[in-house]
Order: sequence, then structure tokens, then C-alpha cells
Amino acid sequence: MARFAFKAPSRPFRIGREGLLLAALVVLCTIFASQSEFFLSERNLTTILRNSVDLAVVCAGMTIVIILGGIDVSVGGIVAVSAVLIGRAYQYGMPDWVVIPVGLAAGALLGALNGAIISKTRVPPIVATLGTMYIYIAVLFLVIGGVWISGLPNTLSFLVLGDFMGLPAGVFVIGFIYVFSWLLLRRTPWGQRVVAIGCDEVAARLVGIRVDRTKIQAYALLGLFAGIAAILYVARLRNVEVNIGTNIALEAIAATILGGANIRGGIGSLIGTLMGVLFIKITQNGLVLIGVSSLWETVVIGGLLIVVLILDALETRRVS
Amino acid sequence: MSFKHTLMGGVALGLTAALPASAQDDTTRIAFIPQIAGIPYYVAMEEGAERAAEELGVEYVQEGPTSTNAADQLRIFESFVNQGFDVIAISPLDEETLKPAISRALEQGIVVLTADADAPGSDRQFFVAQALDQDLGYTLLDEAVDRIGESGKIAIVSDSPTIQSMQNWIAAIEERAETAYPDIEIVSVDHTDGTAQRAYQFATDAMTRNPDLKAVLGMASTTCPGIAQAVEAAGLVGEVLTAGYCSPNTARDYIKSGAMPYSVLWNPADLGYLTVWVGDHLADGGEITGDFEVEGLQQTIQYLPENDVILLGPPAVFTEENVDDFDF
Repeated sequence: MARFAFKAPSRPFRIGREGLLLAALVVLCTIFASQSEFFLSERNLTTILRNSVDLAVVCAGMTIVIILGGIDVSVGGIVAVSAVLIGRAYQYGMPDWVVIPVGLAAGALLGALNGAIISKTRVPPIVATLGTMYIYIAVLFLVIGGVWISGLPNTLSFLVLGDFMGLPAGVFVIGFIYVFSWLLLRRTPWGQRVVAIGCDEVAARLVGIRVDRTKIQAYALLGLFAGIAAILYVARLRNVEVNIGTNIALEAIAATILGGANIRGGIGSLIGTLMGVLFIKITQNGLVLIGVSSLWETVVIGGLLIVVLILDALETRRVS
Repeated sequence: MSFKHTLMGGVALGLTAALPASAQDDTTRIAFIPQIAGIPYYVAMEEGAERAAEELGVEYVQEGPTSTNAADQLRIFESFVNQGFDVIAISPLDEETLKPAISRALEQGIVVLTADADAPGSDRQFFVAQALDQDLGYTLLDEAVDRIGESGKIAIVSDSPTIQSMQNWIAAIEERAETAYPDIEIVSVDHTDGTAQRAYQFATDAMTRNPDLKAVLGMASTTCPGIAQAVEAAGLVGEVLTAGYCSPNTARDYIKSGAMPYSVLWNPADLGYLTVWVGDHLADGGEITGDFEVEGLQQTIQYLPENDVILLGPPAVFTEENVDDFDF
């Protein structure tokens, strides 16, 4: 294929978006720190980080899919199916080097299935993945068969709960995933194709980009990341419950949009997404610490999401 | 043989096959709608119910929503009404959602029971109760006090706030703390989305906020692995007690590791058995006016006329000694 250079539309506001989110994070942390002496303690910050790992991993993939102009509301189902297969594999006495590929392969396959349905049938991604979500949840129920999987081995727990070079191991997991995703998105022709499809799919097709293949690959990557999240979830909690993955899709989409990704595609920021993840997890943690009912967390996150979308709409109007 | 003959034979076969079924049309059909499908607790209840159905010669069907969603539960309830079941028992997620549907079902002559959880404001005929909410609340706290002493901070982690029974248990625990143990302080009540992860998060945050926390109590089986894991991960087993209304299977590992020394619940198989027995009894025109014995259950079943509650018995406490006797 001919090499093709693509320049994303310049958009000075984007720096503003990440700055805005950083400011919101600082304000949030200041409020929590002033109301609770424990908020800034090393133990609590470590806790927030550990609780963020699986969501952060899923969000890296979600950012790429949203930049592509897609969306995947079935990631919770992918996490659930991967986790239940991981749990079953452990129950059959499989070692980690078998269990890990099982989880990753399940995630990548289900993601690729989403991508294939979306690109080959041209069904809107939100509808297609809504459909597959129901199927994946049914698979979870069939495999789990009414009995929770619990008491799984903790051989991988160090990935989330351990420390490495004085830092929580989760930092390195998140760091690896995000550096990898950033390089893929910003330093490879594949990443350029993703952005090009997100900006204008028809134009991308006309210049010879194999849109369908790129889409399937992007959804498969998100599925793979969901598989990693499942491994981390099982490693940390050592059980697989029926409700596993319930809110992951919504939280992942919220974090990605908060982080500056445009739901219409073409635009998105991995750094912004990571801040979005932290915003959600800090809100969940901080409200409990200052003694506010956890029911308010959805109000805070929903409120900020609406503010961000209004700013986006205003920006679009100004540009046009 | 021609195609037509085959077809005729098929029809005839179908007719003869249908005959005994229509002759058995007066077989009592009993449905039960749990709060969620597929969790071990309701599977155990189903086993007890099936056993009763077999012994009593009735048909039993159990179907629940795949997530704790009140609208889905209503939809299932209405489908059982439309299918002409004689008895519908339900463990309601949300009373208000179900009230009108329960009244309509009664008008059609269907026996409507609540079992496992109640909707006291509805027209349901009886509530088949596993144990009184008050007894459950008191037992959980009393057992905790036996282990942590009569003073200290306790955090509560519950499932969705729309589940009435859990709200009642929390109220009973709070009332017991106020009246019997003035130095016990309930510092927080948090509600998860049903995942172990959120329970883990809430328990960890509660320990962070209260470094002198003595116990975390989980109101649902969905919360138990999470809170016990949180205490294990924090290295505070023995310092922070966890306990809750957890099925023996979800609590077993933690009962044995010491992170969750006990769990309070009841035997769901017996509850399922009793629900079907009561449903069949009422569908046959029977009445319930006082305490009674049920063949197949050891204890005397109490009838509490003020709220039309049929009570299975006192709560069971699962500890290291007896947890292996149960499988749900």
C-alpha cells in the first residue's frame, strides 16, 4: 500500500482539555485531602492505583476504538467471559503459562468477532456490541453454571498487589500498556490508518486503506486488553462472580470521553484517558473517605461528563 | 407409506401424546422468581423446591433476571401470570415496581407469595421467611461482638440499595448497636454494583478512613469475597474481622483462612421446600392459621399472624466447624 501521510486537524483546545481535566483532578484531590487526612497517605494512593489497573488497561483499547470512530459496549462481557475461562482453567489445575494465553486469546477472539460484525455487516458499532454483550453475558452464565468460582490461586496477584522498584507493580502494568498503545497509535502506519478512518471513513477507503481489516484489528486489540484486565481482576480478587464486568464498559467510555476523545471519532488522547480513569477512581475512593454516600459518585462523574460534552459542542460550533 | 400417511400418523401420535397432558391439567403449577438467576444460593433453593415438588406431585419452575433489575423481574412475573400458573412466589427486588402486578395476579385467582424477601406493602398473601430480619441483624452483630468486644467501629458493605431485605438487616444491626452496644459505632454503609471489586474497594476505603476499624460486615454473598480479600490484602487478618450474610461456598475459603470467621444465613434448600409446600397447600384450598409441621422439615414452622409471615426458623451460623456440611 502506498505510504500515506495524514495530518490530524489542528485543534489548540485539545491541550486545553487535558489541562482542564488536570485542573479538575487537582480541585478534586484538594477537596478530598482537606476533608480526609488519609486521602493523600501512601497506602490510600496505592489503593487507588491498584483499583485503577484493570479499568486503565481496558481504557487504552477503548481510546483507540473511539478514535477509530467506533465504540464497544460489550467489553464488560469480554472481561467476564475471559475471566470465567481463566477461572475454569485454574480449576482444572492448569499452570499460569496456560491460563494467561487462554485469557488473552478469548479476549482477542471476542474483540475480533465484534470487529468482524461491525465491519462486514455495517451495523452501527453501538448496536452490534450491545448484541454481542448480551451473548457474552449468556456465555458467562452457561460456563459458570450457577456456581461461583472462588478460591483461585494467587500466583499472579503480584501484578496488581506487589511492589517493584519501590513502586506498586500496577504502575508498570499501566505504563507498559499505555506506552505500547501510544507508540502503536502515534508512531506506526497502523495508528495513522486508525486516525484516518476515524476522521473520514469514506476518504480513508478511497486512498486505499483496508478499513475492514484495520477495524477488526482495533477491536481485537481492545478485546486483548479486556483479556489482560480479566487476568488482573482474577489475580487480585481470586474469584469470578456472576456480576463480573458489570460497569466496566460504562466506566471505560466515560473515562475515554472525559479524557478528550470525540465520540464521533478521529480525536482522542491516551494521556487524557488515563486522567479520566484516575478521575473516576479518585471520586469513588474520595467520597467514601470523606463520608459522603457512595451514591453520589455517579452524580459527580455524570455531571463532569455533561460539562465536558457541552464544552465539546461549544468548541465544534466555534470552529464551524 | 405416503407422505400424507406419515403426516396423519404424526398428528395422531401428537394427539395421543397431548391427551394425558390435558388430563393432568389440574396439576398445580408453582413458579418462583429469585432476585437473580444463576447464583449458588438460588440454585440451592431450587433444589429444595424441586424435592418438594416431586414429593407433592406438583410442577415447579424457577426463573430470575440475569442482573438485579426490578423491571426484568416484573416482566418475568407477568409472563408467569400469562402462562396461567397457580402459584407465583417471588423474592422482590423492588416492592413498588411489583405492587400493581401482584394485585392483578390475585384478582385472577393466582396464589401470590413472597419468599426469601418480602414486599410488605403489597397484597401478597403470605411471606415465606427464612428467618426474621430482626433475628438476622441481631445474630450477625451479636456474633461480631463476641469476637471484637462491645466497643469499636464497624463498616457495612451492601449490595444495591433497592434490595429491601438488606436495608432491613442494616436497620436491625443499627438498632441492635444503639440499644445493646452503645459503644459500637456503625461508621458507614456503602452499596456496590454487585461486583466483588466494588466490595473490595469499599472495604479498603473504610479501613483507610478508620485505621481503628474493627469489623466489616457484608450484607450479600456478592460482597463477601471482596471484603475478605480486602482484609487479607491489607494484611489485617485477625485485626479487622469480616462477616456477613454469605453463602457457605462464597465464604468457605475465608472462614478457613480466618479472614471471615463466621457467616450468618439459613438453609435455602429448606426455604425452597417450604415455599413449594405452602404454595401447594394454598392452591389446594388449604388455610394457614397457626404453627404447623411440614413433612421433610425438622423444625416446627411458625406462623406470625400480624404480618402473615410463615417463618422457617432461627438463622444459622456457619463457622469452621460446620461450613463443610453445606453446599450452596
